[in-house]
Amino acid sequence: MDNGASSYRRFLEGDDDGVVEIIKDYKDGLMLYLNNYVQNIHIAEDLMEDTFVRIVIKKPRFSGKSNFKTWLYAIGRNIAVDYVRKNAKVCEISAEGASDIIRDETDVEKEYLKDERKILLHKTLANLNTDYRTVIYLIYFENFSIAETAEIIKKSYKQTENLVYRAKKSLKSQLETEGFVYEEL
Amino acid sequence: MKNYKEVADSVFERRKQYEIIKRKKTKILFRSLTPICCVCLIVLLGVGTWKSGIFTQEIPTSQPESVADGAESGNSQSTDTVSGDNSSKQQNSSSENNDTSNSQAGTFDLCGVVYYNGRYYVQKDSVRKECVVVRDKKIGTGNDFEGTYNYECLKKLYEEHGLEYRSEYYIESEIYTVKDNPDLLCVVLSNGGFVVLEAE
Repeated sequence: MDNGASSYRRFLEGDDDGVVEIIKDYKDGLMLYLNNYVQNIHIAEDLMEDTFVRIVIKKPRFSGKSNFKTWLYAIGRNIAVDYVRKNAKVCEISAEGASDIIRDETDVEKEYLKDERKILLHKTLANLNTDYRTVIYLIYFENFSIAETAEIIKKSYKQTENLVYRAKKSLKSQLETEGFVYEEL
Repeated sequence: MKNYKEVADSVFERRKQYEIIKRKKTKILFRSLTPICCVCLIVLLGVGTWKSGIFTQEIPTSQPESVADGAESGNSQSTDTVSGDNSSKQQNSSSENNDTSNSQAGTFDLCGVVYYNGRYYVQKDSVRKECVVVRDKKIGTGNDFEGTYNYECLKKLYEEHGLEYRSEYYIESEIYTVKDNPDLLCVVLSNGGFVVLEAE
């Protein structure tokens, strides 16, 4: 399986349906991944859309050295990091807006994760810091390898490995605090 | 939350808008580029023309340079308008006097000088534009006085400078006093030119 590379090639050759297929396959995963950076599902949705817009307008070259999904998530990460940097000092959420966000986020999670244990785990993840949350999400929810995760978050393999170790430790302690037992951790 | 079709539609809509904006920007760029290019071209042409020296060239005066004939009779008075440009022109014609082409080897620029009544009368730039000179009495020819209008003096001057003197360098001249101004002399050259000399 080429994980969207062939769809992207088709798009570059002029077939817009290629991008539609990519959006269909990666929209939700990318949005949840970006949500780890911005902690707001609506903004994450906008950033996800921005990622696809960048692909459609700029048509960046996909060399095929990495997985297409890795490449797409790396683009999304750049956009999210830019956004976070620009809006570092701005954080305005109304009470009504916040409840909407939580409801929307839960809906997307339910649909995407379809596993209560994973949903619970995901909620606990929200309490971790961004780096821990991101690596755990990429490795355990999106099934990326450590090497692929390292490529997406632009860190070395060793750094990523250490980050995963510390993230798991932190998550474990939090889950234990809440009385949750998860054997794989 | 948008479904994938809505996201795709939104993405394509944004691409469309981006292309429209890009096209507009290109149009504006080309529209503004044309007058900018024209202005640059004009500036370049202006600078080029200025550097070529057209505007800095000396414009010869339109005033007549000849001296009225009545002056030679000694009693009549004529009025000559002398400009700085004219003066410098005459300086060349009198000093090089003598030397019609400055490009010739062995010549040099001379300032007109006449020794008269115990004073030196020298061609000066101080004779300004629009200076009105009224010629009075003829006091003699250039050869009658020491100075650059004297054949022998001129020859000697050339020899002192180690230059070869040619007879064609010499131009015959007549010297007049100037009415109401004893500090000025007027030299009328046989080639039609004239020079005003001022006492030092």
